[in-house]
Formats: sequence, structure tokens, C-alpha cells
Amino acid sequence: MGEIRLENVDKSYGDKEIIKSLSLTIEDGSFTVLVGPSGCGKSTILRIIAGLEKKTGGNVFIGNKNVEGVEPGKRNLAMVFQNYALYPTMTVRQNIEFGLKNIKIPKQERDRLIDEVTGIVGLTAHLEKKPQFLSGGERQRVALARAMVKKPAVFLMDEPLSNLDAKLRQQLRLELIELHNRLGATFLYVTHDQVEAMSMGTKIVLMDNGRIMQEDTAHDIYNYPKNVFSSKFIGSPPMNVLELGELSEYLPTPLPAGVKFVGFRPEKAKIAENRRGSGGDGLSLEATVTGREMLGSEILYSVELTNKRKLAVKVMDDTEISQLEYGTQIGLFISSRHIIFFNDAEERVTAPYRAESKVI
Amino acid sequence: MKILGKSASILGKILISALLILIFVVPFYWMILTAVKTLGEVVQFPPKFWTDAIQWHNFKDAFDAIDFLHYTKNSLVITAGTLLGQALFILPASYAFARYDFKGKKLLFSIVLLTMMIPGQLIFLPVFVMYVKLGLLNSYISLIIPFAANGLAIFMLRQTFMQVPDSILEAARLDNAGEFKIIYSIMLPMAVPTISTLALFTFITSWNSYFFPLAWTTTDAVRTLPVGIQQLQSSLGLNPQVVMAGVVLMVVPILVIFVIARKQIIKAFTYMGIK
Repeated sequence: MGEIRLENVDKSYGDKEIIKSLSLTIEDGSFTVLVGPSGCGKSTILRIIAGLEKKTGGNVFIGNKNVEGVEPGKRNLAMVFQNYALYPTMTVRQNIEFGLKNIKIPKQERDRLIDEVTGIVGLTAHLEKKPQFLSGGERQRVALARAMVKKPAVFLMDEPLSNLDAKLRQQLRLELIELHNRLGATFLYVTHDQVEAMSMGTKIVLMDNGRIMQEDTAHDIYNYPKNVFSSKFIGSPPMNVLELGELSEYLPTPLPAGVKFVGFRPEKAKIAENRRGSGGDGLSLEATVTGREMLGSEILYSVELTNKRKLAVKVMDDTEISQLEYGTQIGLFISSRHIIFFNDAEERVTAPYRAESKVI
Repeated sequence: MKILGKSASILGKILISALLILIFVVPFYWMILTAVKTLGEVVQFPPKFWTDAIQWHNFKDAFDAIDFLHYTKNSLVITAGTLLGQALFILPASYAFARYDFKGKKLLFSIVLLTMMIPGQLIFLPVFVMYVKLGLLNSYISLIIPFAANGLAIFMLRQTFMQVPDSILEAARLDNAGEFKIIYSIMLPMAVPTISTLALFTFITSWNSYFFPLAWTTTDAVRTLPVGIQQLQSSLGLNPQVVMAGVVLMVVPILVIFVIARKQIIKAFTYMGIK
């Protein structure tokens, strides 16, 4: 029903190629998140699926049906916009009702459906208000209700939470996850915020420059990035990626063939104060503390290696251990199972000795 | 210091309000006052700012001196016709300029804007000659057509339509709304403040129109109320109080509209775009 398949989709504006022969299958019932930096083409993909934007080439299938030339309203999908796109002159009820009226659903049935969805999103008390009298969170709920009432197989969401404050965003994130579980429809969600992507998506599609960089679950995209872009885009702060160069002598051998870059997550580095990290199977580095950010449960240090390269190191805050002061000399140790290698095409290469690692 | 500053600002507000009252209310008061004075009181010097006995018969005199109903009817027909014409021409034109791409759009829009720069008084004679040749002289249509479209109104309404975020239209398309439905249920309601402002301007201009109804006519057949009231002067000799009574009668419809639609008008005039 709600499977979306893109086959070699191209999109260009004049000479500018936005999407380059992109193929992607979005499984029925999944919560797929398209994530990437602004201008990577993620919103364009969404709009092409919705039929609001014409593609230059390729095919789009929704529920196994080629939707070429099918009107946006006839694609069995609903969309939630970043700016909510509510009809300002209509009340909440009229906003939700508009789509139903247009497909000539009888009044009684309309009222029943409206009661049902407004109950779910908690808008029953606001039905007769106009959007301008609602808060941002309430407006987004109206937009959700307007989408839900049509009972579409596919929900498209274009950064629906980015206009809300942090606390509300987190609350609505949870509500969206619950809603997805409840409705069982396909959710395709576009965002530039990797935290949002990680927390909501059953599947994450990471894009850059009109291309898919990685398609994976949140767990795998974080732990097994396919390339340097993926390792740096997902995770906050991003993965530390260093050139192999002089590090090679500190690394356990044998290295996979063609290694050019070495990466590790900031929280995987263990700090050993005033001494070089204990040997063992891994990478040991010497560094100086140059910055400290207290994040609550964690402390984020920025440290500088002897070759002036900056790294981020994240440790759990522990009252037993005093915080490191600026200028403290420390040792860093990264176990070899947490080290990730990339070749000179910035793609990941797997270490031969890492039998437990997932092969991509 | 703070209190001093506050009272100074209150004083400033009072002064400005007083000035505004002087500019707007005093002439209006003077008009009504003159309309109910006797001729003797009108020409009295120094002028009196009140009257001892209200001369209601001034209104009847004005009403009897000219064919008041005839002129009123003409004004009504021409004002209504102009409003209707504007709805028929300006709404579609501004929507098309705002939302569609077509060949020659830029050129056409430039021509529309250019019309704003040509003063009507400059072309009234050629238009008059044209009406003579077309046999349109002394017809309602000749006083409606030139005002049935208006460059400024097309421009303003186009701006309003352009301000509507694309996503609202896209949401409507996803809601299965056709083009006509989108215009009718979403765009027009969103443009109501602008449309009512423009309609009000048109009403006032058309109702008070004096020059063109006089210049483009040779008989009283389609002349409007302001032209009729002008004739009070000549038909009654020196009777300013009767002329003023006529003017008061003419202003009544506009006043009624203001009283009825005050809230809507204030909203329209202070409207700062669509949120």
C-alpha cells in the first residue's frame, strides 16, 4: 500500500543538477527519515513524491503504481509543512474538513472523522478557533490532524518541527513516533537535524549533494558509517577523523588495505590523565585540553594533539573525578574495535582483524 | 525625571490629538453647522460657532431646488457599476499577474503600471471626442468604463496574492482542491482586507466624482450628485447654507458605511500583510 519506490530520479533547474539518478525504496509502514545538509535535495525528493515538483527524469511508484501525471491530491498521501500551511481564514474544524469536503464525503462522516483525529492530537477544545489564535505546537497538531483525517497510506513531513522550541520539539517527536505506531502508515520525514533523524527514524537515508550517502538504521548509521561524510554528519560532536600519516606507527597492525583516514567517536576515547594511554590493542595519543563544555550528564572536551590537530572527547560526568583544567596534558586511548578506517575515496574500509564488525 | 518624561509624552499626545481634531473635525463641524444656519448667520462676521435655531428647511430647500433623486440614482448606478466592473477586471487580472506565468506578462504589467502615471485630466478631451464618435455621450457606461480597471488596485491586489505562501496553495492541492476552489475558498478570503480597502476607496472616489461626470456629459441625464449640488449654487443665487445642506445629504451614505463597517475599515487600513 504505502511503499514508495524511486527509480533513477533526476531533477535539475536549468544547468543545476539537484538530484542525480537517485533510486530509493521506502518500505511500507516504515518511518523513514531523509536527512542531510540544506541544499542536499531532500525536500525536493519529498516534493517530487508529492507531485508538487516535476522531476526531470526517472520514475516514482507509490504502492506499486507509477504516479506519473497523477495529481497531488490523488496520490493517497498527505503532507505536513514546515510553516504548517494552515488556511488562515478557516477555523481548525474547517481546515481539517477542507480536504474531506473536496472529495465529497457526507457531513455526518466528516464530523465523525474530525472528532476522531482531533481526539488523537488533543485539539477538541480548539475546533472553532482560527490558526492565528493557536500556539506553534497547536498549529502543528492541526496540520497533523488535517493530514491524518484523509487516512492516507503515506505521510510526507517537511521539517515539521523546526519552527518549534526545543522542549516542544522533543515532546512532539515522541508523539510522532507514537502516531506512527498507531497508524501503521508510511512516514517519510525530512529534516536537517541528525538528532531528530536518529531518534525517530526506523530507517535513515542520509543525503548529500543530490546523492544518497548511506541508508541504514539509526544504530548502524552511527556505529558503522559508510563514509567520512556519514561519520561526520551523524553524531554530535561529529566523529574525529584524522589522516593516517604519522599515526600509523601507533596503530595496531595489520591495517586494512588503502587506509587514508582514521576515525573514532568522541565518547570512545578514554582519557588517562598525565600519561600516555595504556598500550594494549588500540590507538594511543597525547593531547592537551583546550576547551571544556559541561552538557549535564556529559562533559565535552576539546583537545589538541601535538601536531595541532583538534579533537573532541566526550566523557560521562562523574563527581568522583575532577574536571580537567585547560592546558592539562592527557593521554587518549581508543580501543581498536572502536576505530574506523576510510580510504582515499573517503569510503570505509574494514579492518581484517575485526571479525565482529558488520560487513557493509 | 521619569514622571516628568511621562507627562511630557501625554502632553504631546494631547497636542497631536488636538491638531488632528482641528484638521479633521472642525471642517466637518463647520459643514454641518452651515447647513443648519440662516443666511444671516452664515455671512455674519465674526463667524458664530453655533446656531440658535436649527434651520431644518435648508435640507428641504436643497432637495426641492434640484432633482435630488435623479442625481442620487445616477451616482448609485455609476458607483455600483464601477465596483462591479472593478471586481470583474481587477480580481482576475491581479490574480493572473501574481500567480501565473504567461507570454508578455512583464510587458502587460508595465503597461498596467504606466496607466497610473497618466493624469485623467490630460486625456479627458480625447476621450470625450471618442465618446461623441461612438455615440456614448450621456450614457452610464461612459462614466463607468474608464474606472472599471485601475492600475494601482491591480498592483496592490497582486502584491496581496503574491504574499500568500506557496505552501498554503500546495496544501490545498494535496487536499484535492481545484484551481477555482483554491481561488474561491482560500485566496479571496485571504485578500478580503485588501479588497475591502480598495472597494472603499472606489466607493468614495466614485460617489464624490465631480470632474468627469461634468466634463463627459452635455445633459443632466447621467450627471452625478456632486454635479447636481454644484448646480444649487447657480439656481439659488447666494445661498451657501442650502448648498451645504446638499453636501451633508451627499455625505450621509459614506457616513453610514463608516458607522456600520467601522471595525472592518480600521482593520483593512491598518492591515500589515498575511501572517
